[in-house]
Amino acid sequence: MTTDDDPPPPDHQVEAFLSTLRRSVEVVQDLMAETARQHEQIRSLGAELESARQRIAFLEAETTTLRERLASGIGQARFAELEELIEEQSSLAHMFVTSDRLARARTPGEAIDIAVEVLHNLVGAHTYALWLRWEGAPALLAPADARWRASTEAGRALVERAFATGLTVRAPGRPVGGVPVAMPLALDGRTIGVLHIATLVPQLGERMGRLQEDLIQFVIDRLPVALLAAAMHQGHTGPAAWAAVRTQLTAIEEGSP
Amino acid sequence: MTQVRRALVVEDSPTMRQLITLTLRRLPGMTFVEAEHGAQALERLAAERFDLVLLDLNMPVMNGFTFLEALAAVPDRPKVIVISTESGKVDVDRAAALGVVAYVTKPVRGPDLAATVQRVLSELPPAL
Repeated sequence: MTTDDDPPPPDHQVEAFLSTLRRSVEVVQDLMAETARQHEQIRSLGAELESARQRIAFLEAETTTLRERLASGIGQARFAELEELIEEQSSLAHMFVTSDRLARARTPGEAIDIAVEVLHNLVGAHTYALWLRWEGAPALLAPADARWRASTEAGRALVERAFATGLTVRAPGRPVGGVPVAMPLALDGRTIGVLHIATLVPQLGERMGRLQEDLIQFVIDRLPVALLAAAMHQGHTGPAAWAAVRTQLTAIEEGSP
Repeated sequence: MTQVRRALVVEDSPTMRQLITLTLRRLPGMTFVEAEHGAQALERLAAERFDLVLLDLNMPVMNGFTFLEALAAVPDRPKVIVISTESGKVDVDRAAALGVVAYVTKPVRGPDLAATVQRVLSELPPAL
């Protein structure tokens, strides 16, 4: 260490010390500048990293959303496919039972009863009316239970048009499958009857599903043949068969609509 | 080993009885006995044991609700599933109050009915 009593250092030593000190200051300044630059770089990298993190989070969220959409899309597709199979299987089972039952009818009355059972239990018709046309005016044949019988007055226009045209007639503005509807029963190209469905059970609403539409078409296709077959079974053949149907059925109403 | 389960189908419509048994015949171990109304069903229940009753509500002679009230006195009473066109809340609630375990409205879809029956049977204790 130095004291006040020591002689001052020579000038070259002072100069060397100051030079060293200046270089040190410069080095420290360089280091500080470098540090600042690195801090800036780090801050920039940090910002980039944060940006990248945000991007990753966004992409992850997008991936999750897409995966969920894809999964739900597949699920819905499979669900729809499953529903289709269920409808198809049910439709076939219903048609099989209807066909089997109608084929077993041994009297025209039995055939009508079976049609009523099918309409009520399998189709889901709530109020309906089955008209058959003899030589003259149509006659109401079913249902016998007045609770389920469609109003003759309300259905008159539809039933008359179905008889006249031989085509399915719906109330104005009703879509395909909708009720009220009047559907013709044909035999050898002749309209021999009309099924009028005024309302469906509440759980079906105002429109039949595919199962109900398929089945009701099946019933109106098969019933005339079943009536004839039952009458023929009882010993009537040829043109007398249809007359035999008439004699064995009791009309609820005559001469209308 | 497949459990044998006996079901009593109580329904006045032969068409509906045929559809029910056709629909459920593939369920393993299921056998069916048919009755046309509640009174006939009670006679069968007095003579035989059943695991399940598939019951219509609108029937002649004895309707479904009268049958359910009488069933309360039957020992070892089977589970009951109602199959009916009636879908009103009053009927559904009344059936539930009388111990009905499932209520299916007509028109039924076969696989839906089979699924309901399977669910009810799966909740039964193993048959002896």
